[in-house]
Amino acid sequence: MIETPKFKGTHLFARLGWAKENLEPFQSDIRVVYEDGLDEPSKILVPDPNWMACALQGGILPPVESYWELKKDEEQPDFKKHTRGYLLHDTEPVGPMTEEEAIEYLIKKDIPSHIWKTWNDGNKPKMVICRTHQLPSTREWRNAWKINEDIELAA
Amino acid sequence: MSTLAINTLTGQTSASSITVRGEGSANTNLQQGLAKAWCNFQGTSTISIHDGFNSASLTDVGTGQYKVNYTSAMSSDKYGYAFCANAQTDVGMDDNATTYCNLFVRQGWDNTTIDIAEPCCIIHGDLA
Repeated sequence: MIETPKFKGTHLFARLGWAKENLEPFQSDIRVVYEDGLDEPSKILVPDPNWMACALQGGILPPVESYWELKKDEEQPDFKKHTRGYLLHDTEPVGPMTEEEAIEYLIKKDIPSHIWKTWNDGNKPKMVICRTHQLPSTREWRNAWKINEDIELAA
Repeated sequence: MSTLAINTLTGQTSASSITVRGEGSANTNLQQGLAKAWCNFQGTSTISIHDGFNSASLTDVGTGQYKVNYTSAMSSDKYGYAFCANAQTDVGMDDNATTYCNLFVRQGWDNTTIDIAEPCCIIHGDLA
């Protein structure tokens, strides 16, 4: 396995360039289905194979908390431009993750926090992690897809 | 013909700005001309990403609606994009932030959102 250079302080974009050149993309078949509104269809989060390769390799991606900090800045009413981009580039990168840990990171990065923080509150789960073969393959009824209320949740 | 073999190009006056001599008397800026993200994906059935750069994930938001999430964030939400789909469709971006963009595809004749087989988006602008 190729060794990751010491990337702390290197712009994240440059790290991704190294990864694209040196790592084999990893096509995960894990999907995250979540509901973000009663009248909206379920949404499905799909990991990027190049991003997955970075996550499995380790030493490339910043801690997910860096994204949360930037999001806080962006939510300020007078936000115009990020001034703390260094949080992505100068923070110690996270180590290698398993496929499951990488999906957990993505959930915390790319799914609204009000969903993953309260995914199992209420009458039925708002978010489910599954495999592609468990999703309907037809798009015919796409806008009617909902998470099955009887779904068996992993402990 | 000579070959330039280097790892990093840095501007002399400003490290993050390199001028490229353009056509006639025009000059163009190297950094501003580079795409900062791209994503080519399967947009029908169970969607998946074929290939890309600087995309962390893709969300199937609904029929003909896709959200691309970036790894390296943009500096502001004022950036440019190109989104390509099939003929006879209208495409666009209806919401974006520094870490994602929401894309849509509609049939040209009745504005109904539809899935398309292999859309591709490209993002230009400044990185955070």
